[in-house]
Amino acid sequence: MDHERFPDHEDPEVLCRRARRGDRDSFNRLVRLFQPKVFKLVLSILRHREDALDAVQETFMKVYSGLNSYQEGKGFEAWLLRIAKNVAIDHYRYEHAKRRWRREKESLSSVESSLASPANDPAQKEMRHLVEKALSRLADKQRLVFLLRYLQGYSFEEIAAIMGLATGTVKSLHFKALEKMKMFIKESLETGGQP
Amino acid sequence: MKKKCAFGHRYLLAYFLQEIRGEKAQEMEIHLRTCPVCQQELAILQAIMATGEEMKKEIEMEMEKVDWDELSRAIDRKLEEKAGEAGASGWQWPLLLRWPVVAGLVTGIILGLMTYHFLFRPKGERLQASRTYQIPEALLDRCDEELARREVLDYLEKSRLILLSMKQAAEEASPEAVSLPKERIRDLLLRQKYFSSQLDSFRLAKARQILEEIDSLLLELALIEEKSTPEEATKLARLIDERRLLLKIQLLQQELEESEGTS
Repeated sequence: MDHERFPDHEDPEVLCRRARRGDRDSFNRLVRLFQPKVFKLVLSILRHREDALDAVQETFMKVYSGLNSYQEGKGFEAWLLRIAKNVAIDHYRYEHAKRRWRREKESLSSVESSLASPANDPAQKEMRHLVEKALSRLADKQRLVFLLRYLQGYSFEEIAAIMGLATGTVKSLHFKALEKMKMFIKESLETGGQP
Repeated sequence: MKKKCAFGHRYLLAYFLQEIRGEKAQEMEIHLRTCPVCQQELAILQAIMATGEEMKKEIEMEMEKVDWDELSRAIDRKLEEKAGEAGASGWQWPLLLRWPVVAGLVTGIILGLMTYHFLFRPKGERLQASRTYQIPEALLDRCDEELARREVLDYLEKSRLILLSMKQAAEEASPEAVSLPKERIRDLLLRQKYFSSQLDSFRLAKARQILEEIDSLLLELALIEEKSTPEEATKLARLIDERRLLLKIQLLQQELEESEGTS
Protein backbone atom coordinates (compact mmCIF):
# COMPACT_ATOMS: atom_id res chain seq x y z
CA MET A 1 0.00 0.00 0.00
CA ASP A 2 1.88 3.12 1.21
CA HIS A 3 5.13 1.25 1.00
CA GLU A 4 4.75 1.46 -2.79
CA ARG A 5 7.38 3.75 -4.27
CA PHE A 6 6.04 6.67 -6.29
CA PRO A 7 8.05 9.02 -8.47
CA ASP A 8 8.45 12.39 -6.75
CA HIS A 9 5.91 14.14 -8.94
CA GLU A 10 3.33 11.44 -8.00
CA ASP A 11 4.09 11.03 -4.32
CA PRO A 12 0.65 11.07 -2.64
CA GLU A 13 1.99 13.00 0.33
CA VAL A 14 3.39 15.74 -1.91
CA LEU A 15 0.26 15.85 -4.07
CA CYS A 16 -1.94 15.96 -0.97
CA ARG A 17 0.09 18.84 0.46
CA ARG A 18 -0.29 20.79 -2.79
CA ALA A 19 -3.99 19.94 -3.11
CA ARG A 20 -4.53 21.19 0.39
CA ARG A 21 -3.11 24.55 -0.72
CA GLY A 22 -5.75 24.68 -3.46
CA ASP A 23 -3.80 23.07 -6.32
CA ARG A 24 -6.58 21.32 -8.25
CA ASP A 25 -4.15 19.69 -10.69
CA SER A 26 -2.46 17.89 -7.82
CA PHE A 27 -5.81 16.67 -6.58
CA ASN A 28 -6.73 15.47 -10.08
CA ARG A 29 -3.49 13.54 -10.14
CA LEU A 30 -4.41 11.93 -6.83
CA VAL A 31 -7.76 10.97 -8.35
CA ARG A 32 -6.13 9.40 -11.39
CA LEU A 33 -3.64 7.61 -9.21
CA PHE A 34 -6.12 6.06 -6.80
CA GLN A 35 -9.43 5.80 -8.59
CA PRO A 36 -8.86 2.16 -9.73
CA LYS A 37 -8.11 1.03 -6.17
CA VAL A 38 -11.08 2.94 -4.81
CA PHE A 39 -13.34 1.54 -7.52
CA LYS A 40 -12.16 -2.00 -6.86
CA LEU A 41 -12.76 -1.65 -3.14
CA VAL A 42 -16.24 -0.18 -3.40
CA LEU A 43 -17.21 -2.62 -6.17
CA SER A 44 -16.16 -5.52 -3.92
CA ILE A 45 -18.49 -4.25 -1.25
CA LEU A 46 -21.38 -3.08 -3.39
CA ARG A 47 -21.22 -5.67 -6.19
CA HIS A 48 -22.97 -3.17 -8.48
CA ARG A 49 -21.12 -1.22 -11.15
CA GLU A 50 -23.21 1.99 -11.19
CA ASP A 51 -23.40 2.19 -7.43
CA ALA A 52 -19.64 1.70 -7.30
CA LEU A 53 -19.01 4.54 -9.78
CA ASP A 54 -21.22 6.83 -7.67
CA ALA A 55 -19.37 5.76 -4.56
CA VAL A 56 -16.00 6.57 -6.16
CA GLN A 57 -17.16 10.11 -6.93
CA GLU A 58 -18.58 10.56 -3.47
CA THR A 59 -15.36 9.26 -1.94
CA PHE A 60 -13.18 11.79 -3.76
CA MET A 61 -15.58 14.61 -2.93
CA LYS A 62 -15.25 13.70 0.73
CA VAL A 63 -11.50 13.41 0.42
CA TYR A 64 -11.30 16.86 -1.16
CA SER A 65 -13.37 18.52 1.52
CA GLY A 66 -11.49 16.64 4.23
CA LEU A 67 -7.92 17.20 3.01
CA ASN A 68 -7.17 19.42 5.97
CA SER A 69 -8.05 16.66 8.40
CA TYR A 70 -5.47 14.30 6.92
CA GLN A 71 -2.35 14.08 9.06
CA GLU A 72 0.65 14.12 6.76
CA GLY A 73 2.81 11.01 6.87
CA LYS A 74 0.09 8.78 8.35
CA GLY A 75 -0.52 6.97 5.05
CA PHE A 76 -2.63 8.75 2.48
CA GLU A 77 -3.77 5.57 0.74
CA ALA A 78 -5.03 3.93 3.92
CA TRP A 79 -6.83 7.16 4.82
CA LEU A 80 -8.38 7.36 1.36
CA LEU A 81 -9.46 3.71 1.34
CA ARG A 82 -10.93 4.09 4.81
CA ILE A 83 -13.14 6.87 3.49
CA ALA A 84 -14.03 4.75 0.44
CA LYS A 85 -14.88 1.80 2.67
CA ASN A 86 -17.18 3.97 4.81
CA VAL A 87 -18.90 5.43 1.77
CA ALA A 88 -19.43 1.95 0.30
CA ILE A 89 -20.74 0.54 3.58
CA ASP A 90 -23.18 3.45 3.85
CA HIS A 91 -24.37 2.71 0.30
CA TYR A 92 -24.58 -0.99 1.11
CA ARG A 93 -26.62 -0.44 4.25
CA TYR A 94 -28.91 1.94 2.43
CA GLU A 95 -29.48 -0.48 -0.44
CA HIS A 96 -29.84 -3.40 1.97
CA ALA A 97 -32.45 -1.55 4.02
CA LYS A 98 -34.25 -0.52 0.85
CA ARG A 99 -34.38 -4.12 -0.34
CA ARG A 100 -35.59 -5.38 3.00
CA TRP A 101 -38.22 -2.72 3.11
CA ARG A 102 -39.41 -3.79 -0.31
CA ARG A 103 -39.53 -7.36 1.00
CA GLU A 104 -37.39 -8.63 -1.75
CA LYS A 105 -34.73 -11.25 -1.36
CA GLU A 106 -32.73 -10.79 1.80
CA SER A 107 -29.30 -11.11 0.21
CA LEU A 108 -28.21 -7.82 -1.20
CA SER A 109 -25.28 -9.23 -3.10
CA SER A 110 -27.33 -11.92 -4.77
CA VAL A 111 -30.01 -9.44 -5.69
CA GLU A 112 -27.96 -6.43 -6.50
CA SER A 113 -24.97 -7.95 -8.21
CA SER A 114 -24.77 -6.62 -11.71
CA LEU A 115 -21.54 -8.49 -12.32
CA ALA A 116 -21.57 -11.34 -14.82
CA SER A 117 -21.06 -14.73 -13.23
CA PRO A 118 -18.90 -16.94 -15.43
CA ALA A 119 -20.15 -20.14 -13.76
CA ASN A 120 -22.19 -22.40 -16.02
CA ASP A 121 -22.26 -25.59 -13.95
CA PRO A 122 -25.54 -25.72 -11.90
CA ALA A 123 -23.71 -27.01 -8.82
CA GLN A 124 -21.16 -24.23 -9.17
CA LYS A 125 -23.99 -21.71 -9.56
CA GLU A 126 -25.68 -23.11 -6.49
CA MET A 127 -22.47 -22.81 -4.48
CA ARG A 128 -21.96 -19.28 -5.74
CA HIS A 129 -25.47 -18.38 -4.62
CA LEU A 130 -24.86 -19.90 -1.18
CA VAL A 131 -21.54 -18.08 -0.74
CA GLU A 132 -23.10 -14.76 -1.64
CA LYS A 133 -25.96 -15.45 0.74
CA ALA A 134 -23.53 -16.41 3.49
CA LEU A 135 -21.56 -13.21 2.85
CA SER A 136 -24.67 -11.12 3.24
CA ARG A 137 -25.31 -12.76 6.61
CA LEU A 138 -21.96 -11.70 8.03
CA ALA A 139 -21.45 -8.72 10.27
CA ASP A 140 -20.17 -5.66 8.38
CA LYS A 141 -16.62 -5.97 9.69
CA GLN A 142 -16.41 -9.70 9.02
CA ARG A 143 -17.71 -9.27 5.48
CA LEU A 144 -15.31 -6.42 4.83
CA VAL A 145 -12.33 -8.43 5.99
CA PHE A 146 -13.34 -11.30 3.73
CA LEU A 147 -13.78 -9.01 0.71
CA LEU A 148 -10.54 -7.14 1.28
CA ARG A 149 -8.66 -10.35 1.79
CA TYR A 150 -10.02 -12.46 -1.07
CA LEU A 151 -11.32 -10.01 -3.63
CA GLN A 152 -8.66 -7.34 -3.15
CA GLY A 153 -5.78 -9.50 -2.04
CA TYR A 154 -4.75 -7.20 0.82
CA SER A 155 -2.61 -8.49 3.66
CA PHE A 156 -3.96 -8.51 7.21
CA GLU A 157 -1.76 -5.49 8.01
CA GLU A 158 -3.16 -3.54 5.07
CA ILE A 159 -6.71 -4.47 6.02
CA ALA A 160 -5.97 -3.36 9.57
CA ALA A 161 -4.75 0.02 8.25
CA ILE A 162 -7.84 0.48 6.07
CA MET A 163 -10.25 -0.54 8.79
CA GLY A 164 -8.42 1.24 11.56
CA LEU A 165 -8.16 -1.95 13.62
CA ALA A 166 -5.37 -4.00 15.14
CA THR A 167 -3.97 -6.77 12.97
CA GLY A 168 -4.93 -9.38 15.56
CA THR A 169 -8.52 -8.18 15.48
CA VAL A 170 -8.55 -8.43 11.70
CA LYS A 171 -7.24 -12.00 11.87
CA SER A 172 -9.92 -12.87 14.38
CA LEU A 173 -12.62 -11.32 12.21
CA HIS A 174 -11.31 -13.22 9.22
CA PHE A 175 -11.41 -16.52 11.10
CA LYS A 176 -14.94 -15.91 12.36
CA ALA A 177 -16.11 -14.88 8.91
CA LEU A 178 -14.94 -18.11 7.33
CA GLU A 179 -16.31 -20.20 10.17
CA LYS A 180 -19.72 -18.59 9.93
CA MET A 181 -19.86 -18.89 6.16
CA LYS A 182 -18.84 -22.53 6.34
CA MET A 183 -21.52 -23.34 8.89
CA PHE A 184 -24.19 -21.42 7.02
CA ILE A 185 -23.45 -23.23 3.75
CA LYS A 186 -23.28 -26.60 5.48
CA GLU A 187 -26.67 -26.07 7.12
CA SER A 188 -28.10 -24.84 3.85
CA LEU A 189 -26.91 -27.94 2.02
CA GLU A 190 -28.30 -30.20 4.72
CA THR A 191 -31.71 -28.53 4.70
CA GLY A 192 -31.93 -28.17 0.95
CA GLY A 193 -31.06 -24.51 0.68
CA GLN A 194 -33.03 -23.33 3.75
CA PRO A 195 -30.72 -23.00 6.77
CA MET B 1 -23.50 -39.60 9.32
CA LYS B 2 -22.57 -37.60 12.39
CA LYS B 3 -23.09 -33.87 11.99
CA LYS B 4 -20.26 -32.50 14.10
CA CYS B 5 -16.63 -33.36 14.65
CA ALA B 6 -14.91 -31.98 17.74
CA PHE B 7 -11.41 -32.42 16.31
CA GLY B 8 -12.36 -30.84 13.00
CA HIS B 9 -14.19 -28.03 14.75
CA ARG B 10 -10.98 -27.24 16.60
CA TYR B 11 -8.34 -27.61 13.88
CA LEU B 12 -9.90 -27.73 10.42
CA LEU B 13 -10.04 -24.00 9.68
CA ALA B 14 -6.57 -23.41 11.11
CA TYR B 15 -5.30 -26.29 8.96
CA PHE B 16 -7.06 -24.85 5.89
CA LEU B 17 -5.53 -21.40 6.53
CA GLN B 18 -2.15 -23.06 7.09
CA GLU B 19 -1.95 -21.70 10.59
CA ILE B 20 -0.95 -25.08 12.00
CA ARG B 21 2.07 -26.97 10.80
CA GLY B 22 4.10 -30.00 11.72
CA GLU B 23 2.55 -32.81 13.67
CA LYS B 24 -0.85 -31.21 14.08
CA ALA B 25 -1.08 -30.64 10.33
CA GLN B 26 -0.17 -34.27 9.64
CA GLU B 27 -2.69 -35.42 12.25
CA MET B 28 -5.37 -33.36 10.51
CA GLU B 29 -4.46 -34.84 7.11
CA ILE B 30 -4.83 -38.37 8.52
CA HIS B 31 -8.13 -37.41 10.20
CA LEU B 32 -9.48 -36.00 6.96
CA ARG B 33 -9.10 -39.35 5.20
CA THR B 34 -11.64 -40.93 7.54
CA CYS B 35 -13.95 -38.08 8.73
CA PRO B 36 -16.81 -37.33 6.29
CA VAL B 37 -17.86 -34.30 8.37
CA CYS B 38 -14.44 -32.68 8.02
CA GLN B 39 -14.23 -33.70 4.38
CA GLN B 40 -17.52 -31.93 3.68
CA GLU B 41 -16.47 -28.84 5.62
CA LEU B 42 -13.11 -28.71 3.85
CA ALA B 43 -14.93 -28.93 0.52
CA ILE B 44 -17.14 -26.01 1.56
CA LEU B 45 -14.11 -23.92 2.50
CA GLN B 46 -12.48 -24.68 -0.82
CA ALA B 47 -15.71 -23.72 -2.60
CA ILE B 48 -15.78 -20.44 -0.71
CA MET B 49 -12.24 -19.70 -1.84
CA ALA B 50 -13.07 -20.68 -5.39
CA THR B 51 -16.09 -18.39 -5.36
CA GLY B 52 -13.89 -15.62 -3.96
CA GLU B 53 -11.51 -16.12 -6.85
CA GLU B 54 -14.41 -16.07 -9.26
CA MET B 55 -15.69 -12.81 -7.81
CA LYS B 56 -12.23 -11.35 -7.96
CA LYS B 57 -12.05 -12.13 -11.67
CA GLU B 58 -15.45 -10.53 -12.22
CA ILE B 59 -14.24 -7.37 -10.54
CA GLU B 60 -11.12 -7.30 -12.64
CA MET B 61 -13.26 -7.68 -15.74
CA GLU B 62 -15.38 -4.73 -14.59
CA MET B 63 -12.23 -2.72 -13.96
CA GLU B 64 -11.25 -3.12 -17.59
CA LYS B 65 -14.58 -1.65 -18.72
CA VAL B 66 -14.28 1.54 -16.71
CA ASP B 67 -13.44 4.74 -18.58
CA TRP B 68 -11.01 6.18 -16.03
CA ASP B 69 -10.62 9.48 -17.87
CA GLU B 70 -14.37 9.99 -17.86
CA LEU B 71 -14.56 9.08 -14.18
CA SER B 72 -11.86 11.57 -13.21
CA ARG B 73 -13.56 14.23 -15.38
CA ALA B 74 -16.87 13.53 -13.62
CA ILE B 75 -15.14 14.01 -10.27
CA ASP B 76 -13.56 17.22 -11.52
CA ARG B 77 -16.93 18.51 -12.72
CA LYS B 78 -18.47 17.79 -9.33
CA LEU B 79 -15.66 19.66 -7.64
CA GLU B 80 -16.22 22.59 -10.01
CA GLU B 81 -19.92 22.60 -9.15
CA LYS B 82 -19.12 22.51 -5.46
CA ALA B 83 -16.63 25.34 -5.83
CA GLY B 84 -19.27 27.32 -7.77
CA GLU B 85 -21.82 26.79 -5.02
CA ALA B 86 -19.30 27.81 -2.40
CA GLY B 87 -18.47 30.91 -4.45
CA ALA B 88 -22.14 31.79 -4.85
CA SER B 89 -22.77 31.39 -1.16
CA GLY B 90 -19.65 33.49 -0.52
CA TRP B 91 -21.19 36.41 -2.39
CA GLN B 92 -24.29 36.12 -0.32
CA TRP B 93 -22.40 36.59 2.93
CA PRO B 94 -22.23 40.38 2.79
CA LEU B 95 -25.99 40.50 2.14
CA LEU B 96 -26.62 38.14 5.03
CA LEU B 97 -24.35 40.22 7.19
CA ARG B 98 -26.41 43.28 6.36
CA TRP B 99 -29.59 41.79 7.74
CA PRO B 100 -28.61 42.05 11.40
CA VAL B 101 -27.61 45.69 10.81
CA VAL B 102 -30.99 46.49 9.24
CA ALA B 103 -32.81 44.61 11.98
CA GLY B 104 -30.80 46.51 14.60
CA LEU B 105 -31.63 49.86 13.03
CA VAL B 106 -35.35 49.11 12.86
CA THR B 107 -35.38 47.91 16.48
CA GLY B 108 -33.50 51.06 17.55
CA ILE B 109 -36.00 53.35 15.82
CA ILE B 110 -38.97 51.55 17.41
CA LEU B 111 -37.40 51.65 20.87
CA GLY B 112 -36.55 55.35 20.43
CA LEU B 113 -40.12 56.24 19.49
CA MET B 114 -41.52 54.28 22.42
CA THR B 115 -39.10 55.94 24.85
CA TYR B 116 -40.07 59.40 23.56
CA HIS B 117 -43.77 58.56 23.77
CA PHE B 118 -43.72 57.25 27.34
CA LEU B 119 -40.89 59.19 29.00
CA PHE B 120 -39.99 62.43 27.23
CA ARG B 121 -43.28 63.60 25.77
CA PRO B 122 -44.41 66.98 27.35
CA LYS B 123 -46.80 66.49 30.29
CA GLY B 124 -49.37 68.98 28.94
CA GLU B 125 -49.58 67.07 25.71
CA ARG B 126 -50.09 63.82 27.58
CA LEU B 127 -52.79 65.37 29.87
CA GLN B 128 -54.59 66.82 26.89
CA ALA B 129 -54.55 63.46 25.23
CA SER B 130 -55.83 61.84 28.40
CA ARG B 131 -58.63 64.41 28.67
CA THR B 132 -59.67 63.72 25.17
CA TYR B 133 -59.65 60.01 25.47
CA GLN B 134 -60.13 59.14 29.11
CA ILE B 135 -63.76 60.31 29.69
CA PRO B 136 -66.13 57.97 27.95
CA GLU B 137 -69.07 59.40 26.08
CA ALA B 138 -71.51 57.21 28.03
CA LEU B 139 -70.35 58.79 31.29
CA LEU B 140 -71.01 62.28 29.93
CA ASP B 141 -74.50 61.19 28.90
CA ARG B 142 -75.14 59.85 32.38
CA CYS B 143 -74.03 63.18 33.91
CA ASP B 144 -76.45 65.08 31.66
CA GLU B 145 -79.23 62.70 32.57
CA GLU B 146 -78.56 63.12 36.27
CA LEU B 147 -78.64 66.90 35.99
CA ALA B 148 -81.92 66.69 34.09
CA ARG B 149 -83.35 64.36 36.71
CA ARG B 150 -82.55 66.84 39.45
CA GLU B 151 -83.98 69.70 37.40
CA VAL B 152 -87.22 67.78 36.88
CA LEU B 153 -87.46 66.97 40.59
CA ASP B 154 -86.98 70.60 41.44
CA TYR B 155 -89.51 71.61 38.81
CA LEU B 156 -92.03 69.09 40.07
CA GLU B 157 -91.62 70.24 43.65
CA LYS B 158 -92.13 73.85 42.77
CA SER B 159 -95.07 73.06 40.50
CA ARG B 160 -96.61 70.93 43.21
CA LEU B 161 -96.35 73.79 45.71
CA ILE B 162 -97.97 76.23 43.29
CA LEU B 163 -100.76 73.84 42.43
CA LEU B 164 -101.26 72.98 46.06
CA SER B 165 -101.53 76.63 47.02
CA MET B 166 -103.96 77.22 44.16
CA LYS B 167 -106.12 74.34 45.32
CA GLN B 168 -106.05 75.41 48.95
CA ALA B 169 -107.04 78.93 47.96
CA ALA B 170 -109.95 77.62 45.94
CA GLU B 171 -111.06 75.30 48.74
CA GLU B 172 -111.01 78.14 51.23
CA ALA B 173 -113.59 79.81 48.93
CA SER B 174 -112.31 83.24 49.78
CA PRO B 175 -114.49 85.96 48.27
CA GLU B 176 -111.38 87.89 47.43
CA ALA B 177 -109.35 87.36 44.39
CA VAL B 178 -106.53 84.79 44.63
CA SER B 179 -103.08 86.23 43.94
CA LEU B 180 -100.90 84.18 41.58
CA PRO B 181 -97.10 83.76 41.82
CA LYS B 182 -96.66 84.95 38.26
CA GLU B 183 -92.88 85.17 38.31
CA ARG B 184 -92.45 81.66 39.69
CA ILE B 185 -94.87 80.37 37.08
CA ARG B 186 -92.97 82.05 34.22
CA ASP B 187 -89.68 80.81 35.64
CA LEU B 188 -91.04 77.28 35.75
CA LEU B 189 -92.27 77.55 32.17
CA LEU B 190 -88.80 78.63 31.02
CA ARG B 191 -87.07 75.88 32.93
CA GLN B 192 -89.40 73.30 31.49
CA LYS B 193 -88.35 74.43 28.00
CA TYR B 194 -84.74 74.11 29.01
CA PHE B 195 -84.85 70.58 30.30
CA SER B 196 -87.52 69.23 27.94
CA SER B 197 -84.70 68.31 25.51
CA GLN B 198 -83.37 65.92 28.17
CA LEU B 199 -86.68 64.08 28.49
CA ASP B 200 -85.95 61.84 25.54
CA SER B 201 -83.86 59.55 27.68
CA PHE B 202 -85.38 56.24 28.71
CA ARG B 203 -85.63 57.04 32.43
CA LEU B 204 -87.26 60.46 32.02
CA ALA B 205 -89.67 59.54 29.23
CA LYS B 206 -92.45 58.84 31.78
CA ALA B 207 -92.13 62.38 33.15
CA ARG B 208 -92.78 63.95 29.79
CA GLN B 209 -96.58 63.43 29.85
CA ILE B 210 -97.05 64.74 33.38
CA LEU B 211 -94.76 67.66 32.73
CA GLU B 212 -96.77 68.58 29.65
CA GLU B 213 -99.98 68.56 31.72
CA ILE B 214 -98.34 70.74 34.36
CA ASP B 215 -97.02 72.95 31.63
CA SER B 216 -100.46 73.47 30.10
CA LEU B 217 -101.91 74.32 33.47
CA LEU B 218 -99.10 76.72 34.27
CA LEU B 219 -99.63 78.30 30.88
CA GLU B 220 -103.29 78.88 31.74
CA LEU B 221 -102.23 80.40 35.03
CA ALA B 222 -99.76 82.63 33.25
CA LEU B 223 -102.55 83.98 31.04
CA ILE B 224 -104.67 84.93 33.99
CA GLU B 225 -104.33 88.36 35.41
CA GLU B 226 -102.36 89.01 38.55
CA LYS B 227 -105.31 88.02 40.65
CA SER B 228 -107.72 85.31 39.62
CA THR B 229 -111.40 85.49 40.48
CA PRO B 230 -112.84 82.88 42.92
CA GLU B 231 -114.54 81.19 39.96
CA GLU B 232 -111.28 80.90 38.10
CA ALA B 233 -109.56 79.53 41.21
CA THR B 234 -112.33 76.91 41.66
CA LYS B 235 -112.08 75.96 38.01
CA LEU B 236 -108.28 75.48 38.31
CA ALA B 237 -108.69 73.43 41.48
CA ARG B 238 -111.18 71.23 39.67
CA LEU B 239 -108.75 70.73 36.81
CA ILE B 240 -106.04 69.79 39.26
CA ASP B 241 -108.32 67.22 40.81
CA GLU B 242 -109.65 65.88 37.55
CA ARG B 243 -106.18 65.37 36.17
CA ARG B 244 -104.93 64.07 39.51
CA LEU B 245 -101.93 66.24 38.98
CA LEU B 246 -100.79 66.37 42.59
CA LEU B 247 -100.89 62.58 42.89
CA LYS B 248 -99.09 62.16 39.61
CA ILE B 249 -96.44 64.66 40.63
CA GLN B 250 -95.96 62.89 43.94
CA LEU B 251 -95.58 59.48 42.28
CA LEU B 252 -93.19 60.83 39.73
CA GLN B 253 -91.11 62.53 42.37
CA GLN B 254 -90.97 59.31 44.34
CA GLU B 255 -89.90 57.35 41.29
CA LEU B 256 -87.20 59.83 40.31
CA GLU B 257 -85.85 59.98 43.82
CA GLU B 258 -85.65 56.21 43.98
CA SER B 259 -83.82 56.10 40.69
CA GLU B 260 -81.06 58.29 42.10
CA GLY B 261 -77.76 56.48 41.89
CA THR B 262 -79.07 53.69 39.74
CA SER B 263 -79.01 55.60 36.51
